[in-house]
Amino acid sequence: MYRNLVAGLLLAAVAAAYYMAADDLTISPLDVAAATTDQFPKRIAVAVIILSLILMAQALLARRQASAAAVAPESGRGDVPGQHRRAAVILAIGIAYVALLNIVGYVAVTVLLVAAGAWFLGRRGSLEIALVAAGTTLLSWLLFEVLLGIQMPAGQWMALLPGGRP
Amino acid sequence: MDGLLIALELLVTTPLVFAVMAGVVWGIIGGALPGISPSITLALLLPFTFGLEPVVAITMLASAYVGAEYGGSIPAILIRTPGTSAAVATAIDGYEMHRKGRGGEALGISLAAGVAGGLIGMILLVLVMGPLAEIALAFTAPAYFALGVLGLSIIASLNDKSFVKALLSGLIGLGIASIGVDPVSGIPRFTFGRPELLGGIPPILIMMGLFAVSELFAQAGTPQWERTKASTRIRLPSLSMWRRIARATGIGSVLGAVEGCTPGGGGSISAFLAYNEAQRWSKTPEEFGKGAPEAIAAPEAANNTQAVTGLVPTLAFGIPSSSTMAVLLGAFLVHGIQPGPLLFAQQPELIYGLFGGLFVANVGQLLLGFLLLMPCIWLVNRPKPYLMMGIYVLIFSGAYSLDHSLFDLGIVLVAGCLGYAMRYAEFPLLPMVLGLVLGPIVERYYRRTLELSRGDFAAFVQDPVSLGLLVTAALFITWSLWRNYRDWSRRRAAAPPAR
Repeated sequence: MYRNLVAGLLLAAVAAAYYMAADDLTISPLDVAAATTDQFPKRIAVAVIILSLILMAQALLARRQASAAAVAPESGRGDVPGQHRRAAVILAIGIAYVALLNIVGYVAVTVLLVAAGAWFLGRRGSLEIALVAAGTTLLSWLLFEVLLGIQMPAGQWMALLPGGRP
Repeated sequence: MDGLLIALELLVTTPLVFAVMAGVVWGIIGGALPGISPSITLALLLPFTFGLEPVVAITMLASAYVGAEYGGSIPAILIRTPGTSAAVATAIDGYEMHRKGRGGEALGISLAAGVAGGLIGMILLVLVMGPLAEIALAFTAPAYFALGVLGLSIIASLNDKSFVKALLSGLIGLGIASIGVDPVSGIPRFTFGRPELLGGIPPILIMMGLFAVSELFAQAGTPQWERTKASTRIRLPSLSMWRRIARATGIGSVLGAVEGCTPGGGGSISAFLAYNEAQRWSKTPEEFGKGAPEAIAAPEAANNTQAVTGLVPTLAFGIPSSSTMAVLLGAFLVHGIQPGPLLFAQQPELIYGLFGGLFVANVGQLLLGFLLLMPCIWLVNRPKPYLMMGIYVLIFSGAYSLDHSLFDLGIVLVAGCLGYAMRYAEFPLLPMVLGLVLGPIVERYYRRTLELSRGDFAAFVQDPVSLGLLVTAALFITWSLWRNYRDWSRRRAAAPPAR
């Protein structure tokens, strides 16, 4: 139930900010009064705020009922221990990938992504990880850059080389 | 007849057949990987279609959906781990048959019933699409707005757990869709000065993050799925087996056809309904749960039928019936095509090419199902960390190929976090996707109606079609609220008394 309470609060806050941002929008003089640029977003924001309040009320009611019956509130989906931490690490690996992509280049950073992710998820054996990382990167490079003709970032260091592309 | 000629010409003169087969192969492989839903499979395939003609690209993606529905049954039968949510029903009896040494037979029933269901769906699609498009042409601006509202209401009301959360999810999608340039006045909205947001956020990026990246986050904490050492060969049903599963296949096809045309489906609902109904009508219902062939035929026929008939609302009205159809709709937009009734009049070659391609896909699946079994088993047996990282690479590479922008990769990651948070808080994802895809359409027709009526809201109820659709939406909402209240009352009555 805490999840619903927190979700309701967050959504209400975001909706309020969304409403205020909509209020700041420029209105076209050609728009009909009831159909201006800001009207639709404002209606969405109001609906979200109302529904968020209902969600919070439901959460509080369920919590009160659970307390009265002296049972633990439903925790919803079962939590795997360390689940969120592991997901956060995968996210961090993804963020690092995006941050380094233009700097290091597609090939190098993709090898690092596969190697780091596989190691974190439990694979061991440097040679195996290195081979799989290299193989995955090669396959991906062949698919996207050779087959589809999509130019992937070469990395800033490549521009320093004679004839290298930026 | 003209349509048939157009389809044949496209099949012969364009790389359509090759693209269809490639799509089916991709779909079977993607569907065979647990955790990779058909929507993720399509989202990962999308970048490979950018250089193709629209008819080839769309047909390839639709064929991948057909393949994924069969692919999901492979791990369901062999290791009791459904590759797709629609294969959960198949896993019940399929795995039991495999345990008794009849895995090849189970796979054969799955393949054959799936192909039969897909072909039945094709016939229905061809028969229904034309008349439905004619009806849709008569829709006015308020009717289109009301249809969007109805689509969102149906999907929200079909959510078992919380109607409020489903509505919120849909509204979040509508809100995200409002980012970019106002479709009517051209004024930038919610761009915060970022030029990358002027064109709005491509729905496909949100879908990749919401479905694929969030699934990776969720899978990070779960162990490796069971492996199979089976050297299984597919055995197609004999004539006597066909006599036995024919009724179940028919039941599955009917239910799959209905679900495919209804927003909010996606395969798993009709699969379970088909399982239950097949058991009800079976001469040996006691065998269900212990390896009954009908228990595989019914859900697999349902899955494949709804994969095809899901195109009905998607093409006729531009309203996707499932998350996979939403990805397909996103693909339409990426290729510069607006689905809807005008598509029939303006681009008939796309429609008939799609029909022809799907026919080839369903038939081709029969051969490819045989050829791809061992590669799929090999792939499923690979260490999960490597598969996950390979998919991560595909996601990033695919997202980058859209516009060569790191900002797009950031959007995918943010959407992944949002999807993960929504899963944790038990918010359904499909209403959000629908809101995202329908948002521009709903707003455009909402404002157009008000402009034409000079701000008079009565215009929404003066149009009879619009009124009917809005009343239907209200009925769905009322039914869902009543159902939520009834469930709450039952839980309250069943709760232990207060001390």
